[in-house]
Amino acid sequence: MSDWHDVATLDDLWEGDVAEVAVGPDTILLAHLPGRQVRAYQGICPHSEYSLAGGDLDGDVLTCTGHLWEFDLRTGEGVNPSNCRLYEYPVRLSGEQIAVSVPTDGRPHYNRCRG
Amino acid sequence: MPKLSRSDWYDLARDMNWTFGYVNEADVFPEELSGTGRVPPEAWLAWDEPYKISYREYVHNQVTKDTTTYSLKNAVGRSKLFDQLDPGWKSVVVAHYGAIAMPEYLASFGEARMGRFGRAAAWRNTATFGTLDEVRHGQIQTFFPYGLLGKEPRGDWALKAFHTNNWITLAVRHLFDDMFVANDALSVAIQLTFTLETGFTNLQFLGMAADAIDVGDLEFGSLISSIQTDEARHAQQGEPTIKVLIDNGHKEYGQFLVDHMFWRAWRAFALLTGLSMDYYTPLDSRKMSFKEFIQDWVVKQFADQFRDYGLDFPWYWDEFINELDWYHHAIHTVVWNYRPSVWWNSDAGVSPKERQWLEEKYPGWNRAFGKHWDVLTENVRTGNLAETFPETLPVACNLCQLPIVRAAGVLAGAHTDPAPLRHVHNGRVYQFCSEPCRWIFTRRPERFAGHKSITDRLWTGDINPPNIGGVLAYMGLSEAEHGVDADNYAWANGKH
Repeated sequence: MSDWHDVATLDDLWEGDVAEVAVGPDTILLAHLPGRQVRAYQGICPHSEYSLAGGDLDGDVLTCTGHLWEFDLRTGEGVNPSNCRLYEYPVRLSGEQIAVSVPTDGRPHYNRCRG
Repeated sequence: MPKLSRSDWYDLARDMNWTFGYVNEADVFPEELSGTGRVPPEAWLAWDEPYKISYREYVHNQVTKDTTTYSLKNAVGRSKLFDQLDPGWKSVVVAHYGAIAMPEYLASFGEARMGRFGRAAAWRNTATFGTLDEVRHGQIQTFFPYGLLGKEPRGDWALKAFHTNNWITLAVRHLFDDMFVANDALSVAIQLTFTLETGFTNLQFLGMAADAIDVGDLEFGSLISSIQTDEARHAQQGEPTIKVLIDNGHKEYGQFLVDHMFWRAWRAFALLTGLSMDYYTPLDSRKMSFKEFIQDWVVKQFADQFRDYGLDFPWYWDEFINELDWYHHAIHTVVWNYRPSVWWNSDAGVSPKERQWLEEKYPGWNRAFGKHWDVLTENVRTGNLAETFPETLPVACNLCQLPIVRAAGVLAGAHTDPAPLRHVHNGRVYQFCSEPCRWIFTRRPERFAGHKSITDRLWTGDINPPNIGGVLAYMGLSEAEHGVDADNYAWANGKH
């Protein structure tokens, strides 16, 4: 089971921006990619739990400031290293409103990947 | 010219492996230096580091880190920030530099050994970066305390400590000689990069950087963060190494190397981090107790990793968990009692409020340790300071080189007998603080038997005269360098 949550508007998140929002125990990274594409992933790096919202977004690739791990935010796949991926939340855009769907099992959702 | 992406050329540039035609395998990779002979050479080709980096990117990243960190140091150096730091925190920093700066430099030997004798080109490549990392860490952690000399003359113990026979140095040097200075490439990967760095220091450095910022020590916080980013990259050598070993049927040997070093890493952590977190860091800045830190980070996260690789908990796991409640408290008491023998100012950390915190975090602390501090407090209050100094030396363990504190273990309900454990090897009696320390020694006695603990040196006449004054001189401490109570006993008078 999942619930939809309004978390931001496109006014808060311009193209090329990332932001961190919290829904219950989940810390969520929002990214507005070129072409009005909004994605939502786990907000902490799967490597050492740094906040990904402090990372640098270049095109579709986000580089975490912790240890320079890179993620493709179009797909959530790790670029370097390539053996891990970010947990992804479904996103719905209604006009300017951004909503994300978060499972209602009461647990935070994220992948871990050590290195 | 079109620019290829890294993945298009990386493997080709990295994988400088070839078949030997003019020399023997054993001449190129002697077992005592490489340690990889259990696994056939071709099986090592599966070695792959998860996070990739080219030399060009490496240099770019390192220059950026150095520029940021050194600029911050220059700015902070002109301020009064260091003067305003809590005295206990200054002790954290001064203890850290003395115990860690030179070992970081020495770790470059271990990395360089993997860079030459690691059995896969990918491994040697990663280790070459690791070598450069550790040279940088040795230099930066010697240079930063050098900048503090005007304010804290014992900043020079960053360089000096390892050139003395101070008892803390003996313990730390014995550990790191075992772990990387005198260790083969395979064991360095598993014991330094997997067990110590992945298991303990990566996690500790994150917490320490956050604590430094919290107490207002921007310089140390920035330094530690800059180091930690390197550690996380070269620490990844452990994972592929242990994977190759296990995939080729040598789980038991990997388990032995982990069990050996996990215990030793725990001992060093209890000494350095245990005291820092639970006694030296100002109460307001403590986010968690040392026990909570070990439970949340080391036990939970690192233990998950054991199991991911099919390894088991070390055989002494119950004893390790049990020690979280008492071992570092006992060591803290010893370090404070012998405060002139260390190069930092020991912070008793037992003001009424701090004692309340300790009892809350470690139920039973008052019963096992508080009683001892009651006596010390009374002696300080009545001006009887001489009574707070011991007249003899504790007996050091012949493996970890730390004082044998089993008597405190009896008070804490962990042991029934305070006597040291014994083992006779070639007619010489060796004494140990714990079963795991004895086990590590007896599995490979030839590795450790020739070493003399500080107690042995006293008994065999290396230290003259054999009294406290002679011992302090032997340890390289001039009177001006003797540690004193960090708070000038304010804690005993209920102030803090």
